[in-house]
Amino acid sequence: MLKLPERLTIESVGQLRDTLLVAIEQAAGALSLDAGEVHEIDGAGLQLLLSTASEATEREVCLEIHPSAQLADTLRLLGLSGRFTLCPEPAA
Amino acid sequence: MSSRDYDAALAAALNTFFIEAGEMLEQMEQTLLELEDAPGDAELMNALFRSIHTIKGSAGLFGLSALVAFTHEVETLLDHLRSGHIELTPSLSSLLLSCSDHVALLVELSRDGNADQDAVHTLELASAELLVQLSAFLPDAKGGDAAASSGCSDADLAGQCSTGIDRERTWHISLRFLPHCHMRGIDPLATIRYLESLGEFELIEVFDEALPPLSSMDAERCYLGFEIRMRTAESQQALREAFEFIEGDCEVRLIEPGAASDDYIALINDLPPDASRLGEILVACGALSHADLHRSLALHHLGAVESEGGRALGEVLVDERLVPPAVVDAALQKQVQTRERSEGGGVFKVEAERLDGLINLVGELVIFSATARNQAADNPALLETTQQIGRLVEEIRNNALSLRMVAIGETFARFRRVVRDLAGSLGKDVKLEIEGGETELDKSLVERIGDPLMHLVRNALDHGLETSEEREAAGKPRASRVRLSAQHDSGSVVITVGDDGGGIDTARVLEKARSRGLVAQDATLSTSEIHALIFEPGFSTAEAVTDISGRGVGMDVVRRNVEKLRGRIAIRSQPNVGTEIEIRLPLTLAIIDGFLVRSGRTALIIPLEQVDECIAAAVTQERNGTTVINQRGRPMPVLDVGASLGLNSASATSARRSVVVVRSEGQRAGLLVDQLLGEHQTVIKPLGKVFQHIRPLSGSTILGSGEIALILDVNELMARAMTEGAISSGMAAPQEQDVPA
Repeated sequence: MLKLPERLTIESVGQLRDTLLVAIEQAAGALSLDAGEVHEIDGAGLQLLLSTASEATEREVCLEIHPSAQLADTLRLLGLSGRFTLCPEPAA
Repeated sequence: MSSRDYDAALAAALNTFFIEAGEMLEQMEQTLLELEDAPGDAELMNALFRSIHTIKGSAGLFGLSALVAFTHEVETLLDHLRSGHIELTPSLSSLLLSCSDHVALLVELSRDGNADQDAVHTLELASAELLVQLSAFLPDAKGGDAAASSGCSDADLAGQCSTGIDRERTWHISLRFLPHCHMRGIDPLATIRYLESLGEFELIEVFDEALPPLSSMDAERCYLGFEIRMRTAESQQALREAFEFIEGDCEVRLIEPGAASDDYIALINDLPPDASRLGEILVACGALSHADLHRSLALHHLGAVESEGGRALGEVLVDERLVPPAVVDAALQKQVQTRERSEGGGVFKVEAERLDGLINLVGELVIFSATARNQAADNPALLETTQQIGRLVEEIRNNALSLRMVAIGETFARFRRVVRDLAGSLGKDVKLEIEGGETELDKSLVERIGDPLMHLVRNALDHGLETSEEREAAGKPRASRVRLSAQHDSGSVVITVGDDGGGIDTARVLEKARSRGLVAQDATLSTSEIHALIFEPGFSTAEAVTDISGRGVGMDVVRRNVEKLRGRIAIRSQPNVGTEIEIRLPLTLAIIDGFLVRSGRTALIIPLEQVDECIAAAVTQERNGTTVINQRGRPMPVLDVGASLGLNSASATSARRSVVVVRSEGQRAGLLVDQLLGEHQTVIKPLGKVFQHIRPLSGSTILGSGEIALILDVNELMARAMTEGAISSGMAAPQEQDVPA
């Protein structure tokens, strides 16, 4: 399981993209992301997740995300919850 | 982009917000004050609403939640005010002014990244306090409800009011963020979250078709677009203002509730890459019928083919008789306007420092073009060319200087609040009249004249104006007037602070001056001479020192500050009619009209406005260690400039020397120089670091010959001479006494 940083924002996306890419390339059919500690997400963070999801689909990697409450809220607000395989929120 | 770059971009965007918020607050204050004179003016009401609304919108984009929460409630009240549900009473006006002050504090707090918790807490308490006061003014005041959530009060508004306020309606908002927006500190999600606070999303679709897979994406570039349908009670203007801040970072398209299908077709046509998905969404939500969609897609295709032949899409639409020409015209015009706004039409801001840099360079250009002209003296053809260049350079200089010119109106307008508050605390009924606010002068002058003006206005209110009772007894209207005016007059700006008060009590002034030893006991002075006494150092007429103008800062300080700006101050007063103080300032500090002289081998420039006259040096005498000459039967101290500055005087003492009579802070003295070279207009260059500590100099310039000339600071020179005893203050008598009446 790959742990995402607390702040999924423009400052961290550059480095995170490389990490995610390596993780997908090495993933054996499945990759799960621990986003339980993500408490801030901006446009750059969001599109990184979207792009990761489409990369995963392309490589036939099954991607699942364990979101924090904040991330789940943001995805719900944007009507994007259906675009990801979300696992039940971890107990707060 | 490194996190440091991002921080810098965010800081820049935030800084723009802080500047704009300051401007908006100033506008809010001015509008409130103007509304006191023109109650119920719809334009002003709207302006008032807009100012706070814009702050709220931008604050929302930066997630400054305390600011959003507070401004939201103020906005709600202003909306009621705008639609006439409540009236702007003087007490509400005062409360709104306090709210404006409070918002300024909240903005300041968000600016200060590491404010301590106590300060935050104090402000929170103040916010709550003001909100309680505000809620009392709301129609059907429900007390504690003021702090309720934002969505709720919007809904209340729509439910309660049948007129004036828009009911909740469904808008279509299309957003396409530009690739650079993240880099500029704009977060698309912040915009979405803010929109959500204004109403309810019926539908939101993220358009990320342009987003490449991870392996080829640039994580810092923005690929996001949104289509939103939302129900809200906000007006179109209010919604547009929500996007004001991201203009230039996002393509915003707003479709009104109940818009014809043509608007949606236009939207589809505007966004070719998203056309098919957008069409499906619009049909699914009922904004567009299937038939319309097919027609538009066919047309879109046709348009693409035709436009290769040079036909614009608009023409195609009209030719197909699908859209009335007027609609297309309007739509196209709107596009053009939006483009012009974002592509540099209108006004844009430039940092003052950059302008200063430009003016400094142009100043050097002026100097060297003069040098070139001198060197071309023997070559007629070259001379003509250099003269042409000289003319152009002169024009560039004037243009560059005019870039720094700003209207004084903004400075004047700030006094409305001062006069209002002061009049209130003094219990006087005062009306401020402003004239000539459009008069322009150099930005640095405008900034530096504010304090002296403030002092004069305070003085006028405190000492100049009588109480209403006194006025009535004197047969004058109870309400008194203070007048601020500005106008251009032969190359300078004249600013006047006038009042219709009691005038200066000459007997009291004279008595005070005598008791302070400023005037000999037996001296007889004319009225204007007595008036001039109030500018003397150490003179203060207020019998009781009030906290308003009696802060130990007298009119002498005002005069010194005006003279530092190379200006002059004069006073006129008539008993029972009023007092008028006139300040005359140069248009700019970047150019000086000087009088060029030579002392030894050094060229010196004396500011022309301080030069009274030039006379041939007469026989000097020594009196109590002071060198004086006899001028019209009176002794006048003279200073050898060369000696004062420590220059090697190469002149033969036998040479015919001249005396330039100068004036500073009401004192006159002669400056002994070797040669008079005449008037000289010049661009001032700041002194280099090495020379900055040489006080009697205020700058330097380069003459056409390439020679450097030093600009003399006459005030400083005389002040120094006075402390060193070269001039005694008794000797350098006020000029008014020297000049025969």
